[in-house]
Amino acid sequence: MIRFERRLEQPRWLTVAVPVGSILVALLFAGVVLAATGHNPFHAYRRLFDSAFVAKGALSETLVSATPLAFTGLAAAVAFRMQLFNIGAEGQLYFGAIAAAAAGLQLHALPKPLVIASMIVAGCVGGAAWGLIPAILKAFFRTNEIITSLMLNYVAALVLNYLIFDSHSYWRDTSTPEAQVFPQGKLLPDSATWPATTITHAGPGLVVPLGFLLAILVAILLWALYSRTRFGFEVQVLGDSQRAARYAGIRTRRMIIAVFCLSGAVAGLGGASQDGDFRHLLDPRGLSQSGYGYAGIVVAALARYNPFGVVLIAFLLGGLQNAGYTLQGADFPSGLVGVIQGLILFCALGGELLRRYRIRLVRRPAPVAEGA
Amino acid sequence: MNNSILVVVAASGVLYGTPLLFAALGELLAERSGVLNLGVEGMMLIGAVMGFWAVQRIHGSSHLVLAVAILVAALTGGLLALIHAFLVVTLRANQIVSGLALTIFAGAAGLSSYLGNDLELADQPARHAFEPVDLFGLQKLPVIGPIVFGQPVLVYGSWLCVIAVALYLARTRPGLNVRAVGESPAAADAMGINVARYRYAHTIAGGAFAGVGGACFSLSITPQWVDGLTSGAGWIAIALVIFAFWRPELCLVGAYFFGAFAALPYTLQARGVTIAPELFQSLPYVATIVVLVLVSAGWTKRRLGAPASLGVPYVREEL
Amino acid sequence: MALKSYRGRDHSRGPFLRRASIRRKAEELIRRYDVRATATTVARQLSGGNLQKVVLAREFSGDPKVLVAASPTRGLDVAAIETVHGHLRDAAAGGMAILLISEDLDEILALADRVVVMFEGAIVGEVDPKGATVNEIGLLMAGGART
Repeated sequence: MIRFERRLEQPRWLTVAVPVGSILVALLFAGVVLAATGHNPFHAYRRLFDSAFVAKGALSETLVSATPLAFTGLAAAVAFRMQLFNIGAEGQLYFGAIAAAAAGLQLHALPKPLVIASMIVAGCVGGAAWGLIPAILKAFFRTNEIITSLMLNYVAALVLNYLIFDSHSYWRDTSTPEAQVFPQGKLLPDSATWPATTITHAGPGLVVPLGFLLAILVAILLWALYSRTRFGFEVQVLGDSQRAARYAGIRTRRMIIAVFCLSGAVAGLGGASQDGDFRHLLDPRGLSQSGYGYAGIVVAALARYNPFGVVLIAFLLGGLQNAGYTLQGADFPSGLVGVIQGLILFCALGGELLRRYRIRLVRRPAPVAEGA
Repeated sequence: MNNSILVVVAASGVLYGTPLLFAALGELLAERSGVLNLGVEGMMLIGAVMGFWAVQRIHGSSHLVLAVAILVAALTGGLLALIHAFLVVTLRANQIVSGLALTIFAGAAGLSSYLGNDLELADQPARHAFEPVDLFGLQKLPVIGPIVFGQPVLVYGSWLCVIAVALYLARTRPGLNVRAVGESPAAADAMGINVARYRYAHTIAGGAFAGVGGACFSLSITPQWVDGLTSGAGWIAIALVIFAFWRPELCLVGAYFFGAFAALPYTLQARGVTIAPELFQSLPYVATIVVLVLVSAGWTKRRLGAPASLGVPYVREEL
Repeated sequence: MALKSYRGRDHSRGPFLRRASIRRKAEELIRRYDVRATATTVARQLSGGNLQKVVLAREFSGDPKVLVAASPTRGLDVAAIETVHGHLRDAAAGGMAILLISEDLDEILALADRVVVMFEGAIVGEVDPKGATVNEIGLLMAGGART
């Protein structure tokens, strides 16, 4: 029979092996699903890998997909570390996008660096503000943050829709007659376009969006915050045991609000990046179809809430997402991305078990022989 | 009189609340055994797509096909729940992450979308659907006629389920056992109750109910399959269980309450009310938050009725 | 180990933690109190006795004048109980005032200088540990008449 024994020490290699293994096993399972529904898994994976990393311009495209995932992944990691399950990164991203678009539109006359800076700040504030709601509800009313933050995602999506599709709001483009009929957001001015660094070796270079660099910076800052400061220590204690935290005099309510708003701010920054780096207008349909907020949770869980791991995993999953878009069509099943993401999470969860416990096969003790 | 806005909203509320009721009943069973299942949305979507598939692809009389479709929906929902049960009961994984993983896996950009598009189920009306029936011929009664007697069979089925679940939990031996498991698995274990088996069974049952709830959407309310057609109903159902204090009867009341909110925008739109639809569409979600806050905050000092071991994996300590 | 001291001057500088200093302190405490673990072991994985030693080490390291010890040896094996008792005795000898709250009468009789019994929220009697019997205390605990 199988016995689970608590491990005393966590072998280092498992920390890497589990996420990597999860991805591999997940791909295996997904391959089975593909085969069972009449697709050739090797073919599909080959095309997946090509579109993600190898094809011309693929890496740059992958970075485009990876950037929002990095932000929402970091947002999730920030909160989940404290056992604060912020599922609202999706909505917080939307509000960050709304705020940043407003900043970009309003302040377009200022010099470019200032516009970008204000968009960054606006994004953070927008996201943090939306995250404040579930934070307060949890801190003061002990309301379950999973459901509140999730419900607010739906509300945020509706707000986004309203601003562009059903109202004549500041964000809506009403300049051309065409725009009157097919609603879309106002185009952000040039000064609100975020610069991208191009690394050229030969031929088309690797285009690194500003957002991605920002994400790396945020990852470094968060890592430092959590591992080197008193605040980070308090977060860890709170995450491990609320009672111990209270014993140590940690102000739980303040921490909940602080962490939630931090998480929201990071997600909001992702929204600002969407406006400034990629879409250049407020794009409800595109944003809500992408599901960055939810995918970020997968990223964070896989990376075991380590900020650097998040960026790395975001890159990998960004490749997956990118390939999913490129390959969408009759030949490539849609929804496969979600399937693989989910499978990866399952395997990661199972792998967690390996980390915490050692699995031993114990033979049932033989019946004691009669006699001396 | 029967066309007045109040009656129409109430009748639609019952209809729209039925998937919520099924899903909430399922979640209630799972949570009573101590397992938090956040994958309800995903299970509903799977049930919706597979139930629809059954209706489109299986040939036979309308009644037969619909019955089979419900069965298929329940089965597939239960299968999905099996994954969650395995992860959470046997592998002792974090119940919250596991449930979320399931929703991502099966949800609107995942398996249900994959199946729906692969099996070419989009953009077509259901070949059979659950139409409203005229129960006992009483549909024409003022006010209560359309609300109580003019609903599709699924609604009546849901009422039977409420009664069944309530009786199960309160009066039967296994029902009492599962409550013990949810309150204190260690004590239940010591009494000889197989904690794992109960948790598996009730989680799977929860998934089956959720699947049926999802099928309500694709076979009755719309009746069509669209990617992500439940739009968060699964999550509302989870909240529903909390403010029904884990009691089946109250689930019914809550489900119809939220159903009314969900039905309101469509009814108003049909009347030509031109306030932005998004405002009304957001009402179910906002209402969920408000009620949840009230329940968690002042009205009850402790979470009345929450199974004490909810969300905690049970490990038999062997020293 | 730094749960209560992390705000103090030697464990933090401004908002930042002095991790090296914290680790050194932890290692020293581990040595002194004979904890079977390293400075990086996660506390959740320690056995009951070890965990209790960690808690003791942490509390003692703050050099408190008064210590409240509630059921300090519940669930521990004999060796661990002995160790804990030893530490408590040493600390008391060194001048620390210890309020020991326990339902283990043998433990109380072994350690205490004064024994006070409570019943239903009120103090019902004080007993001299040197001469008292378990029966006597038990009676008081159950609300029996004062002697």
